[in-house]
Amino acid sequence: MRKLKLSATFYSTFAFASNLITLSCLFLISLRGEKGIYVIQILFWFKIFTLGAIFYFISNYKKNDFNYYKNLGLTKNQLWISTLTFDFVLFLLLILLTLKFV
Amino acid sequence: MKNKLEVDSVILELDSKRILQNVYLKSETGKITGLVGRNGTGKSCLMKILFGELTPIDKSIRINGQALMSSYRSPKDLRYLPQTRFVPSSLTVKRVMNDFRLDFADLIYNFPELEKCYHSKLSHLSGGERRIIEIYIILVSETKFCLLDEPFSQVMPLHIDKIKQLILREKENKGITITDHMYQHVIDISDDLYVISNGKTYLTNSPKDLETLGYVRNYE
Repeated sequence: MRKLKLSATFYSTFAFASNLITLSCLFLISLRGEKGIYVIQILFWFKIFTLGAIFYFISNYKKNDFNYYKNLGLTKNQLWISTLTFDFVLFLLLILLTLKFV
Repeated sequence: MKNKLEVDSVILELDSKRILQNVYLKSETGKITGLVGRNGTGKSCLMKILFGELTPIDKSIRINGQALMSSYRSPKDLRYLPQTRFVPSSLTVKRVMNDFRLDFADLIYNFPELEKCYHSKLSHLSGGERRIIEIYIILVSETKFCLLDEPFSQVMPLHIDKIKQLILREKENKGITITDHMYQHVIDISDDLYVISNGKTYLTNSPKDLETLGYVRNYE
């Protein structure tokens, strides 16, 4: 539970930017209506690219923060794997839901 | 229980320049191990290697004779205070104290000035206040060994004395390794003092050795 809370804290450092990108993707899909499915491939790679950019930015500009989490037993890999997986699964789920309702 | 942390056989090169070789350092429960040396001799690098944040060409790190092979360090074994700020600025003092399972009352007992900061975010504290919080959480939280990189920097003299008292109190339960250029403070509290010079560590017998090893000019 404690590690989950720490991962959530780490996720909060980039959640706003990442969720804004996800919402933009959903908006683009909804704009296309029933043809939304045809832009998914582009948005999928766009999301991957932006997550890569976020990874690069946080790894460089927030690198000292990782010592905080490591002192509490969470490594960089654990933090990245848990948060990026959560973010990407959320992205996929929201896309599926959007496609269902447009 | 008395625990022992040892590091040796470290070979570290940065940009093809050999920084560390033939290093040996030992930290034990109940002892403060001081580490001094000129700028760029590899003191902080050695701390990072111990904490698994820097991977050298070769190393042997052991806790109670058991080798630490990966870069993972359990907080029960080892905690590390880096030179730079490491607590995320968005967190409050209350949250940080909870994360490290520490009692705010003890912090206030030692540093009454921080009482008003309990609900403040770290970003709203002064550099000195922030550094005290960082030192305190690493030093006082439960672990076998503490690595303190420049704990006296950015801290006013009154607080340096308090931090020294805290270090002496905490050494009863853990092994503490400390490096700082305010070497007089390090000497005051150290049980063992190592000097890093030419990539090697030398265990000193008296502070006068600092002069011989070229760390200070005239030791008084």
